[in-house]
Amino acid sequence: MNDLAHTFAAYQDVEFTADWCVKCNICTAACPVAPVTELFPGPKTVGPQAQRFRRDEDRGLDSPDKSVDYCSGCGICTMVCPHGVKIMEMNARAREQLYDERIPLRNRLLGRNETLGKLGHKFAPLVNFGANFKPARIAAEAVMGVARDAPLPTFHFTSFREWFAKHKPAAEAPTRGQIAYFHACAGNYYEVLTSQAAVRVLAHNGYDVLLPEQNCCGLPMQSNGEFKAARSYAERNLDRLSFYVRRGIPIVGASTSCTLALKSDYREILQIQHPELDRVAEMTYDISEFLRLLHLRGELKTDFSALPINGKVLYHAPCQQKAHHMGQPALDLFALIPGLTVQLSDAACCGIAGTYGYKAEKYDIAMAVGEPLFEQVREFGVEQPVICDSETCRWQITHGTGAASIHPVLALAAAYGLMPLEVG
Amino acid sequence: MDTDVLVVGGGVTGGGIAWDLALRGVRVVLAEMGDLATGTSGRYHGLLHSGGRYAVRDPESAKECIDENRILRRIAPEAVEDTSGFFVLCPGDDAGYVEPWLAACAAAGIETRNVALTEALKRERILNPRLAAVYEVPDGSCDSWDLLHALQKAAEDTGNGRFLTYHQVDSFHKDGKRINGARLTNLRSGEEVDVSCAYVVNAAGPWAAEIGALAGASFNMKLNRGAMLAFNLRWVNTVINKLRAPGDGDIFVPVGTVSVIGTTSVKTDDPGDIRVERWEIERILDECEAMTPGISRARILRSWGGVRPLYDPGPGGDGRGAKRTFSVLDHAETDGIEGFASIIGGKLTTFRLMAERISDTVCAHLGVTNPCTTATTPLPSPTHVRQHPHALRGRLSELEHGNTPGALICECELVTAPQIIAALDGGRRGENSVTSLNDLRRDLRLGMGPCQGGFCAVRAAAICHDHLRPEAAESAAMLAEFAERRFGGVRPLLWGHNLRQALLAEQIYGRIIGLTDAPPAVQAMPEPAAPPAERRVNGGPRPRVLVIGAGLAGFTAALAAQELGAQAEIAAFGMGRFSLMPGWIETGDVAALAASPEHPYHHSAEYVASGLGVLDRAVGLQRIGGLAVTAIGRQRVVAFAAGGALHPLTANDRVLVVGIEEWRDNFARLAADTLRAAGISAHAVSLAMPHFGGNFDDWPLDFARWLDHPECRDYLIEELRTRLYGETAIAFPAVIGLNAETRQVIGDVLGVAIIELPTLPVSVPGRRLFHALKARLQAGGGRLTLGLRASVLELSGGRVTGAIFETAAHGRGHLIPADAVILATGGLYGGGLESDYKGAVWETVIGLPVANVPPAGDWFSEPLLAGRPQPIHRAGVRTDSQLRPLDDSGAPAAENLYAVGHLLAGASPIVEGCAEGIDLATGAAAALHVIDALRERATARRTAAS
Repeated sequence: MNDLAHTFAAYQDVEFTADWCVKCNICTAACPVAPVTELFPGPKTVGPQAQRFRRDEDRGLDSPDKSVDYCSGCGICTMVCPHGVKIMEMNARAREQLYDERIPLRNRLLGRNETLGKLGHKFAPLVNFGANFKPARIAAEAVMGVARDAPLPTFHFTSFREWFAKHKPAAEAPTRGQIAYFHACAGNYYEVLTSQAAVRVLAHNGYDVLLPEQNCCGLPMQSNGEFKAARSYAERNLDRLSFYVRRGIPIVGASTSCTLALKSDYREILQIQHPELDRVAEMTYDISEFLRLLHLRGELKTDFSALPINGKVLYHAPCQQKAHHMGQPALDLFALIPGLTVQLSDAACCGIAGTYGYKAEKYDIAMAVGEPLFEQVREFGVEQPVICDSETCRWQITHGTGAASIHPVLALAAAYGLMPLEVG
Repeated sequence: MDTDVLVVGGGVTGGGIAWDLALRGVRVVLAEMGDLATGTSGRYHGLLHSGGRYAVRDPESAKECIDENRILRRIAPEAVEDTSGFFVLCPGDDAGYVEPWLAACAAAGIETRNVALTEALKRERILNPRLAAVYEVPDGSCDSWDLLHALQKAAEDTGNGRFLTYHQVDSFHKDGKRINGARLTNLRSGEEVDVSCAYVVNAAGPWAAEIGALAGASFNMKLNRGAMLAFNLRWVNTVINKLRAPGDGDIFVPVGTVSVIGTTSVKTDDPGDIRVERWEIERILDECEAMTPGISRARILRSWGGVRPLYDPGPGGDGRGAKRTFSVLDHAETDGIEGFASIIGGKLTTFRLMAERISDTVCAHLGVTNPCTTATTPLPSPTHVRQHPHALRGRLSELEHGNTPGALICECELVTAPQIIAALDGGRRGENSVTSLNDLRRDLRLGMGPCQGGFCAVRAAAICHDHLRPEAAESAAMLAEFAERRFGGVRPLLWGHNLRQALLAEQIYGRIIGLTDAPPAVQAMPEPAAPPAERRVNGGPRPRVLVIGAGLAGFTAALAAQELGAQAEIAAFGMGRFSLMPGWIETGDVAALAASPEHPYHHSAEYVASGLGVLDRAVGLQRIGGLAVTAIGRQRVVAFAAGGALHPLTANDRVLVVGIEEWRDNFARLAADTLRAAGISAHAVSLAMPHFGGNFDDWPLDFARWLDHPECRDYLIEELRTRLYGETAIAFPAVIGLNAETRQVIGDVLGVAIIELPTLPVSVPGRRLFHALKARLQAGGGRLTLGLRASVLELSGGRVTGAIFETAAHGRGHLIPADAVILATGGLYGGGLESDYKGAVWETVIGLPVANVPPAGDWFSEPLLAGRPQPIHRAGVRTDSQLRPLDDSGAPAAENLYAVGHLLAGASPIVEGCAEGIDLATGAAAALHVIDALRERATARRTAAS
């Protein structure tokens, strides 16, 4: 084997993977955004192609290409590239240079998922009313460019942390050790049920769940071009999580894009230097991934009973889940639930791609990208919940089809009999 | 033609002299036998010396460099980039050189600054972190083309200067011992031109001795050639020099979008000796590793050589030992020839000073007293001089913000269709000399990027064909010649990325375009076969068969195993080769190929039928056993159509070849002309599709999706109907819907046969095939996961128990357990094999031994399109008769590990016409062996248990 690759860290660097591009166009053909808008010429063009000209940035010249902003960051390009070009990552980094310090208020707002969550849950009824109140949304679009029709989440009065403080589930026998649960912003404020399901499933399987101090993973800021802020959030998380990983306690989360940020974005896109960066990455697990590993080791409880769902359900593996490069562990888990038949969605992307679809100028693109998935859901029947690992994707699916959408762990918790299957 | 001074040589020195004299009011004609800067000036590494390189050994040169460096920054700011420079002391180099070097720099007036290693690494992250010292000097980088074009503009703007390119000096006119003119030949028109003048300046660089001899002057030169490599990316933003006596591979220069490393030093007698030998490339890369470890893994765009025109005043040092300053030879003094002087030696950085000195000599002879003003006269901005084809950022910006820039033809160098058409029109009107692809390359940089014309040359050839209307064979010959030249230029660099790119070009030129000389002979036709029911898994849990790789071989293996009762899973890093497939199946002459014990068919020929059966059940094969038509109307032997529509043409056919007007891959006219030349009645039409606004990069798929809408399909049908006059077939680019029904309906409604011509990637027929195979896999309970790169196999007791894949979590793998593993990772193109500049080839998952690796430098020795196997084609993994790969001892690497497809040694798939055949045969064979072995094992276990 050639050992040069290991001695040359820079060579593994995202920008330099542009060298591997042979121009075969596979990425462009797989890109869900390029076919629906002329504003985005495709991942190859704005990625490895433009990269040859972008090194000039180091000399303080403005990026000549702005269309990279229309990349949704779904990462399908990186997934299909047979030659190892990190296209999405390259584009994400180019966006930093695009915005530089001139970040629109709208992007700052969308990037501050956590602040919104904190405010939102304190004033939940009021905010939920505003989100559903057309005139307010029209004003928000006019003033800030937040798309009036984009699917805003429903805030909960009680945050997950508040619930956990009172209702922490005890580890059942046989006990297996401790887990640090990374609930992320959505898991704390909007997707409280998902977080409850996750910690119940972990406790059921013998884990004592700890709740580390944490803040937003930084991903929303990163995808809105606010790299500086994203880095400071990332570093704070790494500081706090270091305590757990040094003690060998795995970090598990159910927000698949947030666990991906810990595993990969911090290194590949934000280029964080932190002593525990690699260890945190190595010890972070998506909840389904963690449960699948337990099953491979023969440690997962399989006392599942049938769900109150008739026949087949559709499972959509979101882009951020695929970017973990861990297959679709949820499929292996569903196979353990009696009577559950799962069909894998054939669609590339739901379109929302984090905060992309919230932007007024991108809302229509996001809806067009999601259409093939919506069509599949409609064909499948909107009475059944669609299973999907990412919260914004679930909101988008519901927005696009009217079908309810749940996280896989909610289905597992229900099949364990730990909580009812709430799909609304 | 009458002038005061004739300058011979269109490098920067000649250009500088013309400018200098013109500023002094002297009329000048410059004659250059090629284009400007095609000699040493254009074959230069781009370094604007601070003088640090020469400080110790050649203080005079060092002083000249630093003075001229400062002047050039003032007068030509747009041709010079202030990159600054580092001198780095590499591990193992003599630390004793540092003190004398610092002292010498100080003496020459070169500022040096000690840079902390941490600061240096922060600025240039690829530097060796074990450097012993780093000093900063005022190096820069310089674009010699920009510089020379600015000199031409400045000289011509005075009204005194005139530049004649492609004008060769044949002889000098003499009046006794006085030169008073020259006879030139215009190499483009063949016309002879007489120039009368009062003085001739010989600035012919390495050709100076030849020009001197024409005039009767004799002097010696020490020609010395050096090699340089340009990387695809701008790896450094600062010039990096090794802090030691000048040697090989010790300068690294950022120039525009690329970075250049050099050089070597080899004595030569031939001024045109611009060879680069393989050892030079290895030497440069080896040396450069000390400055920037790992750099040899980076992609090199191009290697080239230049000749240093050093002067030999008598006994003295050679090569790098020779003085790098310059000499003015007044031949009145040295040879008794009046009106003639030569300028020899020097370097690009000091060209202005050289011009000043010799112009002083000339002016003294002419009685001109005006002083030199070039040190204080700014040169015009190169952006105003001409289109500035080297500033690619400008093109990117134009493309993004320009008004309707037109189709993007060359994606690497951002050349658009309107630019090409304008250049060709200029050639037709005699305004320029652009008549060929090669001219377009020089004029617009077409084909100069990483893909080396793999895509754009075909598009541009079709545009040339449409505009210049030559015979089809001439267009094909021009395209073939261009492709050969581009790949000839990178031949010494064909490993890793560039080899992969060349293998892609083979696929495009060989199969999609069909330019290879000898298409494979017609073969005996195999038949698709049903799955052998007797070899199914008999009861028990379904065995888990893991296939690594999602190409045709991987899918065939997975589906064949699934049909026999296995639980199949495909895990792949990226999508397979489907995006390059032309829509048909080539199997080659199976029996003849299988006769060679080296060939993958040797152990799998009897399974071709099973593999075809798997494919037939997934997509439905159309039997052809004849000629298919390629993208530009050439023909190639195929066995079946799969994913695409074919119709073997006969002399009775009349073909309408259809192109889409706004699509950059519109080869219709070239295809029709080619078919006609082959004796088939054909004519071309181009349709406008005003309602379709697709993405230019994703045109084939976009169009196919669009056409699947019935109203769009019907629109096309109506467009076609009005253009049919009794044709029997329509040849249409292979974009007629992702849905097979679309082309069915079009053919039925119009009552003609539909022939799909393959397109440049991405291939729609390949996409149809991929979808069909994936759907069949999933319908049978199988799984396909992309984005999984296998890093290691899990082994236990001589058996593979699963594969571990790289995940986003740094360092933690994703395990997929399996009862058997089939490697279908592809060959050197697909990523199953990798190679490096030292000539090593390795298997990427578990490091299986690779057989048939030719000696380094002999990998790609045949012409690209000769239709003969390249030696590297046959490199691959060897297996036993059950397709289990062999380890170093010649035994199977594991009991239940198999290898299929292009990973296997011994085939040259495109030349032999068996690209799909070996995938199908080995995929099906491995699946059957896997199931047989697992069935036997299960039976043995049951027997043991009872």
